[in-house]
Amino acid sequence: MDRTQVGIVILVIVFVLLLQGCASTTVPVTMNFPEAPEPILMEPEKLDPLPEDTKEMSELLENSTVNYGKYRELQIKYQQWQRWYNTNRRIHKDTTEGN
Amino acid sequence: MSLWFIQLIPTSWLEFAALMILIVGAVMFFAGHIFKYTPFVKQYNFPLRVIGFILLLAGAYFNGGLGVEMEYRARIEEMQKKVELAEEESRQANIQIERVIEQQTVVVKEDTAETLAEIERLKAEINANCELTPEMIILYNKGMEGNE
Repeated sequence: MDRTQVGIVILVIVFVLLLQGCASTTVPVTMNFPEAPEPILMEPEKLDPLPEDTKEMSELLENSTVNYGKYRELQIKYQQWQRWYNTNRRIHKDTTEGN
Repeated sequence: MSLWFIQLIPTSWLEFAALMILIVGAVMFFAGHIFKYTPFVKQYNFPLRVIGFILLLAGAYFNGGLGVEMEYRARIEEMQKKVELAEEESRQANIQIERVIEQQTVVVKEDTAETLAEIERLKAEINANCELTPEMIILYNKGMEGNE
């Protein structure tokens, strides 16, 4: 290898080193997917049908009252699901923005 | 090619290594020039100058790159803190959500119990004027369960 070839090899090494400095510097820190609270992950309760031998109006009223209660419980959970999503979306945005 | 392994080296070691490469390179480079005029070691002047020059370049590069590396490490640290805070905030939000569900569910159950008690109290009055037919029950259940 003559002096010119040695010079070329040195130049190549220097360029490789310089280019390495331009390598991407994405921060290798990631945020775990947040866990949702247990109550909003539960299976929704089924509504109670009215027994076929029902004769009295009061039983119908009782049945619908119980079912309304179930609906309202589900409504609370649904609203809290939305709250959970919006909160975690905001947190994720605040954390990862600009990185 | 990646310099990921640099992440594993402590900052003080990196600073020391970058400085030493620069100093050793400069010393070898200038020693090579001096050796040119020194008897007995004259023949070493060219390799010394070449190695010194390479080390000088590498030292300059590493010293410059060290600033970028330090900035990168600071960003990682900042990001880790932000993630920890975010995870804590998320945990707190979950606790609040669980509390709200628990409290409001209790209220709903109390409301339901009160209404049922009221129906029980007015049972005779409610049942006085109306009796349910099987068709009414089927229709009622259809509205709840769908047409399956």
